[in-house]
Parts: sequence; C-alpha cells; structure tokens
Amino acid sequence: MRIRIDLNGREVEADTVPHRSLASFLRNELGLTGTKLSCEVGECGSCTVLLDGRPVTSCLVPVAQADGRSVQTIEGLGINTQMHPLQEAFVGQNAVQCGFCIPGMIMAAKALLDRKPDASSEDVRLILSGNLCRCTGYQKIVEAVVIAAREVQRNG
Amino acid sequence: MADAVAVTSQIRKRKSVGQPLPQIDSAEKVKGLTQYLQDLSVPGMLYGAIVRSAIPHGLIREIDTSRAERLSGVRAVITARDCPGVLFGPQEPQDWEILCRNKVRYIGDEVAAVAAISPDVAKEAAALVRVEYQELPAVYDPFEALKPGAPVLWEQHPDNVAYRFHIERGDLEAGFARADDVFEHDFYTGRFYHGQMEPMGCIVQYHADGGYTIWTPTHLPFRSRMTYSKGLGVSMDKIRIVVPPFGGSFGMKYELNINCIAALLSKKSRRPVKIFFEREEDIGAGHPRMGLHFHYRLGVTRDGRFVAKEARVVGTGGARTFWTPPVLSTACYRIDSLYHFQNVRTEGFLVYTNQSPATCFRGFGNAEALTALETFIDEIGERTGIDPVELRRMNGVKAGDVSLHGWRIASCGLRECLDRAESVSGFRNRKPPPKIPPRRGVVRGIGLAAGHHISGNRIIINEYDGASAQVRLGFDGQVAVIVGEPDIGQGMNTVFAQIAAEVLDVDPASVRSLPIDTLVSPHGVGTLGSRGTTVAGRAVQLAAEDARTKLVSLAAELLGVPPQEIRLQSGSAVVASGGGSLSMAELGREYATRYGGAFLIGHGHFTPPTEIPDATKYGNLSTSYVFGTHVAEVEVDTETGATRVVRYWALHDSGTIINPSTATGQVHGGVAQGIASALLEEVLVKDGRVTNPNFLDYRIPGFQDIPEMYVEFVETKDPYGPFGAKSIGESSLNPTAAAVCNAIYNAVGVRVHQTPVTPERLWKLLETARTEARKKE
Amino acid sequence: MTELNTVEYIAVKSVAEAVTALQSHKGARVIMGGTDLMVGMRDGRIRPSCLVDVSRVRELIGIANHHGSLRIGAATKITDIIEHPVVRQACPALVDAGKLLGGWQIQNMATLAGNVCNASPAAETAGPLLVLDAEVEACGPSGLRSIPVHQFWLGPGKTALEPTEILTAIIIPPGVDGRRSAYQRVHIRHSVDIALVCSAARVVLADGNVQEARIALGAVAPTPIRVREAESYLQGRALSEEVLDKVAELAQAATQPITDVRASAEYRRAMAGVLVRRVLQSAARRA
Repeated sequence: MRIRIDLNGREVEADTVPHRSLASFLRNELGLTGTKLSCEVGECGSCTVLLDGRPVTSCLVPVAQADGRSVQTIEGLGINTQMHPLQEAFVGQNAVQCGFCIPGMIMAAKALLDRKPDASSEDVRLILSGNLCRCTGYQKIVEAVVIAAREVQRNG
Repeated sequence: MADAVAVTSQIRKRKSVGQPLPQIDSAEKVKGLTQYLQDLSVPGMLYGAIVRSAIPHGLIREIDTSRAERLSGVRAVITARDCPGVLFGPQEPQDWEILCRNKVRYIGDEVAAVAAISPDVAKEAAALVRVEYQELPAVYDPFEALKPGAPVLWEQHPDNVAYRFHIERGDLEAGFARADDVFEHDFYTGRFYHGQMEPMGCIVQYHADGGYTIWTPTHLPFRSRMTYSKGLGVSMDKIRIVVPPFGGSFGMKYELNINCIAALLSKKSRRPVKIFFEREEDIGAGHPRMGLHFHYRLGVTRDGRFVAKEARVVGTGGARTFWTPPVLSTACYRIDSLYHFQNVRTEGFLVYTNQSPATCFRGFGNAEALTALETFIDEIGERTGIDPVELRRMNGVKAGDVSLHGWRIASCGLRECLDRAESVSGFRNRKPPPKIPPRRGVVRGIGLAAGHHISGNRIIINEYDGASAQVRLGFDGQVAVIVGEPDIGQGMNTVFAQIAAEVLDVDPASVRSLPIDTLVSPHGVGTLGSRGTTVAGRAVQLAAEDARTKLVSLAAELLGVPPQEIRLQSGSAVVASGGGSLSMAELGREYATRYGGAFLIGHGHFTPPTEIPDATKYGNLSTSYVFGTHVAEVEVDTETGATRVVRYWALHDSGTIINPSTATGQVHGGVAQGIASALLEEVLVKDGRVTNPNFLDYRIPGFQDIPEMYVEFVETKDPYGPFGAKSIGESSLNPTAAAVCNAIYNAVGVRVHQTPVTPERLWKLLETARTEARKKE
Repeated sequence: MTELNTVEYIAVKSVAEAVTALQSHKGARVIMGGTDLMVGMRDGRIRPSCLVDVSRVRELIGIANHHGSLRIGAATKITDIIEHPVVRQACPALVDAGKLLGGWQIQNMATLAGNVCNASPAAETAGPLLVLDAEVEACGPSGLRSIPVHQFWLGPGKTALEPTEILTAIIIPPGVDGRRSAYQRVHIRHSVDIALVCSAARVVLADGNVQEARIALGAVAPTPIRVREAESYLQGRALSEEVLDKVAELAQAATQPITDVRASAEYRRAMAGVLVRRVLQSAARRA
C-alpha cells in the first residue's frame, strides 16, 4: 500500500505493509530510530509520537491509519543543534538517565504543553501517566516539564 | 613557593566536584540520536530467534529442524550438536549449556536457534522447529525441592542445592543465653523483574580467525568475556566486546547466554546476527531477582543490645546458576556490617527449581535482607518498648569499627542519617498504630528503615580488585578519560569527567569518556557492586593527577620556568607569578608534534584495601561502606488494601557527592524501584509458566505511584574514594521496601511478611485481623 | 501474526462501503482505534484476512444530541468523548471510565465502540453504558438495528454483532437521566492499569430517596452485569448505611467471579460490594 505522511513537516511517501505499526515503519523503513519500542502493547509510552498533534503509542497504530496525516517524532523537535525548551529542561534537570523512555516522554510532554502551556506538576503526573520510566523515579521529569512550561510561556 | 602552590590548590574552591552538572550524553538522548542496541545494525546482519522449551522439565527425545531449514529466508539453524558442549557459566556451579543437550529444565530453556533475514522470518522459523520431549516431574517451590524424593534437576546435585552458604562467628548459644528476649521473624521477598526499558539483546559477528565481536550492553565486558570464552571454546583475546549505550539494566545485563547463541548462529551463517527480545521474552524467559525466604532468630538484652542472631535464607535460584550464589551470600551476611549482632550463625541455600534462572538486581540480596531485617527491628522495637530508631543507633556500626567478619568501616554516617531522617520527616511524632484495622476509610502511617551497602566488592574477579584509568590529552586538545567501567545509564561518565576536570581545572563538559571496547579499554572489573564512582573514579583521579604532573612539566619547559611556578587554571597552564600561559589545546598539539602524534597520557590505578574472604569468610570485602535512612508515609485504603506512598524522605551518607543532581537522581530511581518491589511487582509463575509476561500485568510504577521525595546527603569523609566519594547506586534502593512495610504497619496495625504487598494480600491480612478482633469481642 | 502475513486493508469512506467489504471478505475485521486489535494480531489471538478501516468514516465520528438522545459515533475517540461538554454533564460515569481507559495516548486512539466490541468483562465503559441504558446501533446488509447494550455481550470477546455488521453508534436514549452517575474500579497500579473489579451506578433522586437506580459490575462474570436485585431494592429508599450494606450484599450475590492472574474470586466478590457502595455514594453526590 502506498502511503503519504507529513513527517516532521516534510512529505514522505512509501510503499508499505498497511498493518505494520507506525513505530516499525518509522524505525525500520525510514531509519528514524528516535522512537523506541519497549512493551509493544501500548502500556509504556516509549513509542509516543504525535499524530495530527495528539500523542499516540505508535506501536499500536497501523501505518495505514497515518496515511494523509501529520506525524511528529522526536527527530522533528528542535532544529539542528538547537533544542526545544523541553529538551533543554530535561538536560538541565538531569531528567534523563539511560534515556530510553525519553523521546516518548518528551513527545507526550510536548503535546501537553501545546494544550496546557501552564501545566502544573500535578497535571504532568496525571496526564503523562501513560509513559513509564524505570530510572528516574519521575521527579526530575516532572520538574523539567514544569520548567519547560514556564520557558514556553515566557517566549509566547 | 612550592608550598604556596600546594596550599592554593587545596583551598581553591572545587569547581567541578560537587556541581550539579547535566549528564554529558543527555543532549544526544533528548534528541533521540543515541544509538542503543535496539537501533544498531551491521551490514549483512541476520536476526536470531530462540526455540525454547515448552515444558518445565523433560528429556529431549528428538529435534526436527527440517521445516525451519526449508523456510525461505532462513540462513542457519543450530542445536546442541553445533555447540562445543562444555558446561560453563559466570559462577560455580557452572551449569550453562549454550543449547540444551539432552534435558530441558524450565519453560523457556534454550533448545535451538535460527538466524534469518528478518525478525519475523526468524520467529516463524523458530515456531517450525519440532521438539519431542519425555516429560519429567517438575518442582517449583524451593522447600519442596529440598525434600528427599523431589524431582532432581541436575544429577550432580541430587539434593537440588546449587550452592550452600554457612557462616558462624562468636558463640551463638552463649549469645542467646545472654539474651533477655528472643524474637523470631519470617519474611519472603518475591521474584522481581528489572523492567529495564530496553529489553535484552546483542549483535555478534564471527571472524576469520575463529573469534567474535559482540556488541552488547553489559556491566562487565571483561568478566563476561571470560565466561563466553569458555562456553564458545575460544581464548579470551579472540572475543571483542563493544558496549553500546544502555537502555537500562539494573543487573539484568551482566552476562547472558544469548551472546553465545548469537555467536554460534553467526559462525554457522557467516553473517552478523542480532538477537533482540520482545518484552514477553524478556520477562517470560528472563532472569529476575530471585525469591528469598528469610527466617531470623534474634537475641536481645533488656536494654536493647543485639547479642545473637541465627538466620536461614533460602533462595529460589531457578534451573541454572547466574549471579545468584554471591547474591545469596550477600543476603546471608552483609547485614552483619550494619549492626553488631555479636554472635551469628547463618545457613543459606540456593535451590534449583524448574523456573527461569534468576540473577542479580540492584541491591544484590542486601536489599532483600534489609527488607526482612528492618521490618523485624521495627517489630522488636514495639515488642520491647524500645524506640526502634534507638535500637538502630545502639547496635549500628560506627566509623573505625571492624565487623564480625573483618569488614573495616572507614567512615559511617548512619547516626547522622537516622537523626536527620527523624527530624525532617516528623517520624518521632508518629501516632501509634490502630489496635484493630478500621473497617472503612483511608488511614495514614509512617515507617522508617535504615540500610547500608558496599562500594566495590572484592570477589568479582579472582585475581584482583581495583581499577585503572588513563586521562589523556591529544593533538586536538581533547581531554579524554579511558576506563574499563561502562556507564550503565546512571551518569558514570559525567562523574569521571568531573573528577578529571577537577584535577586538571578544565571544563568538565569538554571531557569525554571513551566507549568501552575490550580491544582498547583497560581490563576493568566492571560497573557493579556500587564500585564505579569509588573505585574506578579513584583511578581516574590518580590518572588525572599523573597527567597534571606531566602537563605541568611540559608547560614549565615550554614557558621556561621551574615546574613549581606552573599551575593549571581554567583550561590553561599559567605561570603563577604572571608572564605567560599555554592552553590545553596548545599543550596537546605541542606534545603530539614532538612525539609523532602521541597523546600525553596520565596513568592511574587504584588497589582498594580489600581482601578475598578466607575459608571462614573473614576478610574486608569492600573499599568503603555507605549508609542511609528512609522514611515513607503511606495511605492505606482499609477496604481494598490498596496502598499509596504519599510522602518520602531519603537520607544518605555516600561520602563526598561528586554530582548532587545525578546522585539525587540515583536516589529517586532507587526509591521508585524499592516502592515497586514493596507494593507492585512480582513475576508470577504457575506450573512453571510466567503468567504476567507483559507490562499490562507486570506493573512497573508510573507517575501516579511514586511520590515527590525529599533527598539529603550527609557527607562523611572517607579516605579511599575520589575526593572522599562513596557509592549511591544500590544503597538508594535498599531501605525502601522495609520503610514502606513499616509504614503500612503504622497505618493499619498489621505486619506484612511478604513483598510485594499487593492490595489483595493486604486486604486478606486486614480481614483476618478484623475477624480475629471480632471473635475476641 | 507479523508483517509477513498478508492482510488486505480497505479504508472505507462510508458505512455502506464497510458493510460491502465485510460481506465480500471472509475473515475480515473492522478496525477503529486499533488499540485492542493490534495487540491481538501481534500475539496471534486475532488473525484477520482483511482489515476494514472505518476510522475516517465521517458519519461515524462525532457526538450529536438530538430529540433528547445522545448519539456517540462509533469512531469517536475516547478523548473527544470525555471532553465533550454534553457528555460531561449528562453522563459523568462515562467520563470517569474514559479517563481510566489506558493513558492519554490510548484515549487518543481508542473508541467507545472499540471498547464495547472488544467485549472484555473488565471493559471500563461497559458499566457506564449499562447504567445509562445505552443502545448499540449496528448496520448490516439488511440495514440498521438497535440492540440494548445489556444484550450485546455474550461472553468474553463475544458480541451479538454478526460478522457482516458494523457497530455505528452508541445511543443514550431520551429520558435517561445520567447526571447522577459514577464509575470506579479497584486496580493495582495507580497509573494506567486494568480494573480488577469495576462498578458503575446511576441514580435519580427525589426528596433524598432513590427514584430509579442502575448498578453495574465488571470483571465479576463472563460479561459486564447489571445488579437488578439491588436496583429494585433501592427504589424508594434513602442511601443510608444499612441500605448500602444490603445493596453491597446483593451485589456480591450477583457475581460469579473467577480467579486469574489479576485477582482471586474471593477478592473480586468482596470488592464488588465495596465498589457498589462507593459508586452509589459518588453518583448521589453529583448534581
């Protein structure tokens, strides 16, 4: 099946197996390995990407359902060496240890800030609860998202 | 003049050590650019899949691989016939086979393997391999397995005991005779899976000289190379291990048989082969922390002194031996270096059962023993009427003490941690537990537990303990640290950079640690036993000091002043009295120019004051000892048994803190895993089959399960680690489960004797207590 | 099953096209959000020959409030349902449940109809739909039909839907006063989890007494169930402690729980009683 995706602002066309997961498509066909696979049943959030601006677990999205839609992945965040405020804050707060869950975590956090630029730490804990991390105990992630929220608000 | 320089450098405020710097590689990680094993491929690479035993115990009658071999896209199928056939493994008893020769011992045991052009084809081919078994009776419970007549897993071990531990010190009977009270306690800590976000995996390439290159994230590349070398029947130098970034491990990725399976698939197919687990395989056939049963008898005098301790520890090791023997011994006797028990006897049994082999997990048996013991001390405090914190103060070790087994405690902040924990958490003002658990409502409780750990462990490699490092400066001005200890995701390389940067007074963010590759890295013991910062970090400090001496002398020569006049300052060598300076880049270029491109290299090695324990297990095991105290506040729903940790305090003595931000992160993560082990997680096994092999039913905690935590470091001065630093990786987790269990008791007045305390388990205890109370009325 | 398996994929634009596709492809399955189907296909439980994707059929998306009934299109995402002002006001139980259905990501993908068609005894939204007297609208070769939701589930994974039928909407009929409704569950993990037991209730109060009550339980029987004995007992009574005790007892008696990896039958039965009390109280507190 031929599909067309607006991927991180660029049009991508490919022939693919329609029921393969969007995560597999991104990683194995496009070589975009920033999207991680961890549980593959939609429970951990490691493969989170934004589909038409909404976070989804790309391990459960058949790629055919992404046809004609916009997909944002971690590779689309921040330009070249510049970082998105979330990325800056995750680095600055040491919200990253092994880092395997982080791309998915940041994508979910981005969607949260897009909707709720003044997100509180309670919002972060509630709304990001579909993302699991095994290293950090979450506290520094919460701090980083809240700091990034302030930064995003300051810069409009 | 020389004295003045020395004094200046001593009183100079530290610029790198003690700074909350970001992890050096986190910019790559947040951009999704870090290439984990999951992301790596090698040209021409095939994908491996493993044919696993479908039965818990049985003899292999026949393996038919013909259908798999005929499947299009399959490049190799291997069985025991393709294996050297030697028993090997990381610990005694060595009982690994690369593929099972004539017997399977657990559901998931490796019987055959295939390599194919895609993971899907490999999976399909593996499903086409037919294995005929003659089933044998199986045994899952360690106490059943110890009974005469139980099914025998290994004929060399007819009693199913893989390893037996015995230790005795003092006069136990005399000790109990002195005791005014004797208490007993049983506790079981469940099978707990690492839940690292990246499943296990490896890529292996076979070479023309009969050797292999293995890409795998492992804590101990050199130590595991010894194991694989025996299993594959090639000398150590023929195996090269390259360590990619870790997607978490916590002990899971020490040494794994998949490396040998992939090696033989590569040898047969003459192509590189990748094996990478999906989550179900990682849990279902993986290697969790073993279930441990503790039985304690403790003699206490009227004034609260411990005078005798007898213990029996039984571990469910599973069908083969990974790192469980040292885990068991740790569970048996490490606590004797936290408290003075005066007279002790401990018997430990590591038992073979028909389950997936267990291995080590952060905390390494000590976390489990502390869960059992610290809940016991809480209970003793209550039954004797002596404040449990006071019991800990009274019996706890102090700086300068030598434990019963010869462990030398050079520094100890246990009392400071206890004091601070009491005062910051309000533990002292806690309410007594209810006499009868309330029928309804949500009640709060608070619990405290202490803990300790090592910083390095003498028994990892027989020949030596310690670490070596190089700190080098190149033509390009790059300062690099070279060690044999991999960063396992916790930020080790950042700590190394801060240590080197402190000595050389350069920007730590500019210091790079080289990736670990057994072909080029120094022979490191590995990143385990909480040894990274203390042992390898010390070697880095010494290497940096050596580099500093060399840099100073080079700069002195170039600037035409005596070496005493040179000092390193903000990335340059400057003449103290003014009048000239050279940047690191200039020095590196000058040195390389002079010596054919050579690096200026500082060498350092650190040999810790440790000893291999003697036949009675006497001997100082570790460089330094760390201490901590945790307080948990919980809410218990008395109708459902659901517990939530709502507030948390963690106080730690880890010596000098090199990076307060990453160290705090270690505590956060350790506490989260401790809470998980206390409340949520257990690998459930029914008839030998894991019944929750996915993240749906194996629940690692999420944002809503972990409270905001208060973390404080009580810094003691330790003579061994770099700048007085000790460990934090494991001590961060050790007291947690006990603190939570004690808080549950304080909330509802019911003692738990098993982790995890799932809602249903607690509900049953509450119901029993309520029913008994009603009967009494 | 894997990417190697051939699965035909038909993205349809209308319900009629979907029905035609189902008729002409034996072994076809309708895919909406895919959250259950993709997991089922991955572990081989579900092996469709063809996927009929209805996720972009306009007539299946959206929430309409007309003639006093509330019509939730089959392909409407959980997120859009729980954020809908009318749903929030008229069916708070459904909102309670939707918020607990997976995490945010799953709520952005999953649909109410998918949750209903998956026919899990523990389905979050089942209880709320039972207490709201919801109807399932299905379309097949012979046109539309309506099935009361309590007749829709036949067993774990089994529904009254014919292989050539597609669920088109969930309808809350006119006259159902859902303002005082609630949903709760017992779970192990406070973050995303699955219900060990769940319960929903709806009450209509008059002068502090229950005029009408609906009580549902999940994960205590092969299908989500209504507790009719308790419902009729409640009629005309105030939600006093004694009454709630009796209701809890009746609720427990109505269960036929099993023991599985998540919970024992004993615990499930006990929790059914606990939850029923709680949801009734929670529902009654809502105005």
